[in-house]
Amino acid sequence: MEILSPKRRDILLDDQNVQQIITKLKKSFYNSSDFVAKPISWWNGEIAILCFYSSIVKKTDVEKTLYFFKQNIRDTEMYWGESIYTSVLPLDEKQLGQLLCNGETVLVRLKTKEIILFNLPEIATKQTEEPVNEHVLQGSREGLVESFDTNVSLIRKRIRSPRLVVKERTIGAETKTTVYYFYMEDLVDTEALSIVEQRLGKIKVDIIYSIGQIADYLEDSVWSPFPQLLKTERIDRITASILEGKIAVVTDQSTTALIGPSTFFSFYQTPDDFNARVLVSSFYRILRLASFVLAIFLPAFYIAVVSFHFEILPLELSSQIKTDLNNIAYRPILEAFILEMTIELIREASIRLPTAVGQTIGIVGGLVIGDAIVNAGLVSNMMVIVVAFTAIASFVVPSMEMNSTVRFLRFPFMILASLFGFLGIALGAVILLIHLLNLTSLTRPYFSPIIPIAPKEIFKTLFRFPYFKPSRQAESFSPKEDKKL
Amino acid sequence: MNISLTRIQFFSLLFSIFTGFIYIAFQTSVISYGKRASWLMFIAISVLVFLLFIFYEKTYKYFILGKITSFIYVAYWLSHLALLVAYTIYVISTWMMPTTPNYVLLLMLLIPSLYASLSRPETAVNIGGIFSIFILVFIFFMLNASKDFVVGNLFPIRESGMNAWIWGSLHSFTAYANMECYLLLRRFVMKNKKVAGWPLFLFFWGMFLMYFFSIVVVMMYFSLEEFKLISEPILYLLHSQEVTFAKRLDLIFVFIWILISIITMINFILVIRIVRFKKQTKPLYKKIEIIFYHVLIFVVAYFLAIFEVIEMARKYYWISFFIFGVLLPVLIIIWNKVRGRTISDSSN
Amino acid sequence: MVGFEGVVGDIKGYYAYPEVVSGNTDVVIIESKGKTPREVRMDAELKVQQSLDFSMLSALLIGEDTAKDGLDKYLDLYYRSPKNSISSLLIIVEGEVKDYLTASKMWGSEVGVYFKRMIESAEQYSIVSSYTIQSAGSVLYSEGMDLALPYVKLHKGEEKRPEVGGVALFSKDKFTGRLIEADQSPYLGILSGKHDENIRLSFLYEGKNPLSIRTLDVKKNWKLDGSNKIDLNYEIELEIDEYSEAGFRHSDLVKKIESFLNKEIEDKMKEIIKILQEEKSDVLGIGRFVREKNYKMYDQEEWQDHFANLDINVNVKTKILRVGLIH
Repeated sequence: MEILSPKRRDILLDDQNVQQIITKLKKSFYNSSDFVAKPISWWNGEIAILCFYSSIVKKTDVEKTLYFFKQNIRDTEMYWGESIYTSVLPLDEKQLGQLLCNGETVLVRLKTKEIILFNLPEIATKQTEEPVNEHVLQGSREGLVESFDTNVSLIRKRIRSPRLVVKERTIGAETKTTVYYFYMEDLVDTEALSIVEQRLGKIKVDIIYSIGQIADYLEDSVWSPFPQLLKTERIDRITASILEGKIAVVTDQSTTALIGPSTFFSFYQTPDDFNARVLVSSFYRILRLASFVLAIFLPAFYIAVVSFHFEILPLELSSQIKTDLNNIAYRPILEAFILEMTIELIREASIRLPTAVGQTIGIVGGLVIGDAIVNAGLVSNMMVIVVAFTAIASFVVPSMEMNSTVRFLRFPFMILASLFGFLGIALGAVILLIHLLNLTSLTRPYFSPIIPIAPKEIFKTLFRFPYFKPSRQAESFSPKEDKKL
Repeated sequence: MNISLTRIQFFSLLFSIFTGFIYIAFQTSVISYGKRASWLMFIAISVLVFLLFIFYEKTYKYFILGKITSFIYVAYWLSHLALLVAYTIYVISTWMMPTTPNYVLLLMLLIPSLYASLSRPETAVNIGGIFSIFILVFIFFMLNASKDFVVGNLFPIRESGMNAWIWGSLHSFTAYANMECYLLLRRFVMKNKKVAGWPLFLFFWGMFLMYFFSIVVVMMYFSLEEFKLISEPILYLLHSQEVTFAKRLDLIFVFIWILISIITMINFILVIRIVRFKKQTKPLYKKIEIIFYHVLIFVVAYFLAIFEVIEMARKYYWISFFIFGVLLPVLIIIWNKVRGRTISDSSN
Repeated sequence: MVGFEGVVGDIKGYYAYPEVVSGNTDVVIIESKGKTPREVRMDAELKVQQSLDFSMLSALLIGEDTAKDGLDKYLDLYYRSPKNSISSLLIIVEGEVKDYLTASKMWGSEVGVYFKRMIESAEQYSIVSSYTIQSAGSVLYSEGMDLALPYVKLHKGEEKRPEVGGVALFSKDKFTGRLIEADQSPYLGILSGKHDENIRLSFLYEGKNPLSIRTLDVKKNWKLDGSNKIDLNYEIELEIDEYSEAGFRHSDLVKKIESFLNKEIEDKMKEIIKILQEEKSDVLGIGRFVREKNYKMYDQEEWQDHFANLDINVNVKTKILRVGLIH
């Protein structure tokens, strides 16, 4: 873009020349309607060109700063152009486009081939609000927003230490998304950090839509049903993880942060645990972990008992179930699938329902499923109870990702149970366990503290002891003397 | 291949290897040969075995397997494992699923074992910790039968003659049949942890208590004559219990038993892996060899799951303790001690 | 619920099970015949719409003549197959088994539970002691003790309602044909020392006053005295349940009643032991006791005969602990 280097020796430009330059500038920015290029007079009769994208610039503050400049600062001082918002750089036309896209206002001094940058962006963003998907009873109500400064300020105000480091990276050839990550300098797991940096560096795509793409690159095993990086919007969760030596990766395109390396049990912790009483929260934590087992195994167990091992049921229960099942035309597995699919459809639909209609559809769904489908003889009462119970148990997980994992994992178990009964469930359970034991999150064991076995850590996972101190995740599969905080 | 074990992992591996397949079966052999004083015999034998443990603790440095001995042991372990797997299949198809064909049951056992054996060794080390706890559930429910116990069945002890003492004691050794695994795994325990003395004592007598409890309970519940008929006393005891929430309690316990068996099998294969893959061979060769072992076990176990074979195995099982658990290791230890080689010397 | 009658070679079986007919369960009884118990069962399967599931078996009724033939032949099928429920109760019945199954249909709402509940309630008063198939088998195969199964008969009258008749005595594994009636069988409970159940006994004190007691604790103390004599000593702690005259404030009334009770209970017990020795049925487990204490004296094969010739002494000492709300 050789527009801004006029060939004439006479540097004092007259109006027409400036207009020519401006037209060519606008053309090079494709005549975008929010692109503004204006001539203003600088001191000593100099003409400078002010360029900015009017949609992402805080015009009033730029005006003030310009005024300030014009009144007070002279060319002759050394750092005359440097202040909080401004800096002076030599003119480089190739960078102009990127600078403008970042929300900076550029004042081009054709005479000295310098540009003055006014870094006063006003990028549209929303206020901090409580994350919709992660509710707690007590605790902070702040969540991430789609803005770098705000996010970093939210975290810095909770960790007021210079050892909290923020690093940035730009990814995506077209979108030039900023990806930034936080960690504590002396606490962080250095190997994991280097892996994160390595993997971020390997991302060579044009477009970054959302944090899910980055998660794909950062995860160890993309095909596993279990999420290996904890996704959260809550600030308190992010700060707690950082202080345990984990790394939080955020973009300014979505409000979700990725935290790694994470363990399976960290998906089952909520900030509520630490705000509530010791005994109460220990009980609820154990309940939550039990809900994992329940949500995966209950439908499979029911199908196995009803199809193969009905001898287990006590007499009174079995006569009741027999009466119910006599009226169903097909096997329990089909019955289970029909009902499960219905619940999944309702769940998917309810995410997209407009709030006005939501209540009504909820009632209709409840009536249809609960009452009519049983009366029509399509499914039995017991199956409705089992499926409803499973659904409730699976929503107990504090993390949405793990919720969908658990809901998905029911289906292979149901199929195994309908083929092989208890033996199928045993087989599936062992394979699931082995998979979990093998899984790594940024090369750290995912199922720690069960692998390697550390009984003290297991207690800490299950019970919430008072006077909480953070602890570190195990760094390797073999037992070593890990650093303690 | 090197693994590094904490004491808890070491003991839980040993616990699972010792009690894995045998826990439901050994009571019959001991009691039917030992008659009334079987529980005394078991105590006496356990004391002897404890002394053996202490001896091994002192001399494990000298237990190095050369080529021939590794081959013998791997062959022994594979055939031993095939027999145990056949026994487990037999139990499952008798108690739980009479109509499922044997090869399906074998596949059920072997597929998780294959998956775990192809992963890193730490998986196999840690998987035992979770399910070994289930044996405590067995114990809890055995206590449920307490109102039917006849303590008098344990006495008089003078009734057992010399013959009964000899054979009962020999069969008691089946409970401790996998002694060589102690020697093998001992050197992987982390160096700064103490195993001798109090931890070993606790571990051994804890395991002994579990075994002893099962023998005493079973003796009190059943009369002597019934042992000629029953081959898995614990399961039969649970079969006859009635609890309010489940009618057939033994089904649940066979289910738990399957889990425990799969884990024990994974641990056995781990031991084989440790011995075979000392040098760094290519991962692909390792995988092929492990798959080959599993196929071998599948084929052999399929033909062994018959009543006659199982009964014969029950009669002669104690021999393996003596040959492979005591005789061969002692020989190896003496051989290496005389030559002055310890583990740190050799490249193992 | 299942009932057997006849002997091996010609067995009749009756199976009662719930059938679901348009939303309600109805009890159906089938009859079948065969040479062995398994064949009888196969015959029954031919007559059923779906197939019979024996894991829900709650009670097994055995006719008298079958029991006289020896039980183990009939029970083997229950031990061998895993699907059978060996925690179901064994009951000996008088007369035709079919009547009892029909009766349970009339008087009880659910199949099989009628007899089970009846026996369990009788057990609470120590009139019988219940045996499951498993525990009966255990006693059958053990040495030194004989079975005493609950015995049920039909009430004489038009209703034909089943009632607990007492305890059927077995010698080795065959039914002797002799019962201990329901009014005497609580003494059997005391003799065998099962003191965790309430035993209620009634007497006429001095020929005119009703006196009823309830045992709180029974301590038994058996001693071997030489090679052919056994002393059975009991110490019974009890509570007065019914006594028509007041006057317990005077302590000698207590002692008088105690000595009365001592003699009464001893006499009744001696009667029972006489019956047991006549039938060569050692239901108290004296054989086990002897085997524990003096092994040489115990001879397994001939124990029943030896038992019949034993010299057994009974000593009872009662102690009144409580007298109820009023004096």
